[in-house]
Amino acid sequence: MPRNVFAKSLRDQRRSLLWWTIGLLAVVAVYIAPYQQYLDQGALNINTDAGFYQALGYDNSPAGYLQGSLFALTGALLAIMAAVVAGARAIAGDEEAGTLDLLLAHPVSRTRLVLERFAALAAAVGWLGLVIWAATVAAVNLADMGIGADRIAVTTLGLVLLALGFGTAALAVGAVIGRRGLVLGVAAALAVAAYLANAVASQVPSLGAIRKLSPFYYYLGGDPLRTGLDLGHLAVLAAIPLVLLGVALWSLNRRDIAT
Amino acid sequence: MAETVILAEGLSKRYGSHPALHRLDLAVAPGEVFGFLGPNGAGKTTAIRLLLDLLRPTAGTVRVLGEDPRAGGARLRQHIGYLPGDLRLEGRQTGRELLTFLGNLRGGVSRRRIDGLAERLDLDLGRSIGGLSKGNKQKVGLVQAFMGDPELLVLDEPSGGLDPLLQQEFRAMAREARVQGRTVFMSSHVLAEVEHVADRVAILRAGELVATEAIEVLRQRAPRRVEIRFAAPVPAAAFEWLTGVREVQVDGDLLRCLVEGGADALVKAAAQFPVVSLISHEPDLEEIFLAYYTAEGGGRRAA
Repeated sequence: MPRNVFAKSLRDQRRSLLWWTIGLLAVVAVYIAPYQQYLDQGALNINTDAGFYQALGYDNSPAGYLQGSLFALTGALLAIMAAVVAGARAIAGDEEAGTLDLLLAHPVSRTRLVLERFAALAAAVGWLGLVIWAATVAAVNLADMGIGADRIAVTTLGLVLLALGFGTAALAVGAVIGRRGLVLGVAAALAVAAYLANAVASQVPSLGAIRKLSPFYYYLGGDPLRTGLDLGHLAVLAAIPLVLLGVALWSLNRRDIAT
Repeated sequence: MAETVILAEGLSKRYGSHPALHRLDLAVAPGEVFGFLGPNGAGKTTAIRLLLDLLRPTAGTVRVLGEDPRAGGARLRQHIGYLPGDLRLEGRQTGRELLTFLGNLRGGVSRRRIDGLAERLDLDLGRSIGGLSKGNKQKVGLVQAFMGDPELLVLDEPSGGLDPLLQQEFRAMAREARVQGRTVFMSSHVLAEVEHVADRVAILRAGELVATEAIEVLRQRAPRRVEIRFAAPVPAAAFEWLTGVREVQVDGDLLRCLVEGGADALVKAAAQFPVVSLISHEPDLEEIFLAYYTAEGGGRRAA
């Protein structure tokens, strides 16, 4: 049996983590592994001048395809959804279900609860990152796409931090308002707004500054599949969940717990 | 050990303009079983959740085992066992899994201790909590509150959902806790639940304290139902105006009435007539409760 809130949270997530893992493996298997077949069939001969493709960073090159199909689209969507659902559950889910009451009546401080729930969230998202990385490296080798495992690792690390940021946003909003439905709505709205801010601004030169407000810019804006590590960008991505964790600690510590 | 286990002074909690608890003063001594009575919505749960730092007071102070609940934090809660009034348990785990986990949060509770309590309450630990009845969930709640042998037990409506036999078992557990020097603070909206176990009770109504009394004092003040059967019909007028006698009903040779304080006036008046039998019922705390309500001029109010 779990000895603490961290272990218990991970244990409670094991079923949903299994499904997210299967989903991510399926996405990599369907999109990336058959790259050469898609190329041979001419399925990738798309006019990529359209802003939509450029916003995804998509072109017919292996790196462009990997980014456009997986890292900027399906993989990012699944990882962020998984993180947001887990983050919403971390505080708001328990509070709305009424189970937070009994837990916090135990010798568990609110600070410890938030930290351990955050750690469980980070571990879950980290696991999904590991799945994406391993599956992608295998698929890229299978499809002979010639992209190094290190660059995939750097890009996946960016995705993990990005997803953790949105997951922590859900956790923090939950620490402020404690209503799961509202938390999911706010977190989804944040993710869509951040995505659009980056995508639109990347196509409109006059909006370049706005782009830098979106975490998506720090995730793929530096083109990590081609250029590799950008510590500055990763640092920004790492700072976001930490700041939001601070918000969560501050707000849960000062308010009433709902029944 | 602190001189008072629970000490509230002017403790208040408002939600917007609604005062859930208004200037509560309370002192609970070590080793006491303290009943906290009031109808649903009177503020009992609010007061209890303030003790556990689940809520923060809007005014006043409270000390639990000598400490402010917020300052005492997790270290203080190590010494408190709590049963929520609205107990919610995550369903996808067995009773044993949940209890072991909650025990671990307290630094570990032995399997034997958990098994012993479960056996006493006739609780099957191997079943998934999601499939348990309300009464069985309540048993899980009682086990987790008692299993750490805390100095203070704070139990919100502990016998809710338990059948009479188990209510009796619970009362035995509460008495044993007192014998071991622990303090039990338990709320109820049914007076009979605390009558046989509590030393003192506080009565709460619409967020305000109506009275704090030793259970014996309450009993003495308690209105008793008295029935006297005479050898021949008696006139109601002979009893209607006696001091301390209310609700006089005469049905031929049978007199029914409610007696408060002493029964002296009634007995002397009855002595004028040939008495066949006299029955005095044990005081019902429900009536005491109502007596306090009307005495305080509020009438019944469901908040």
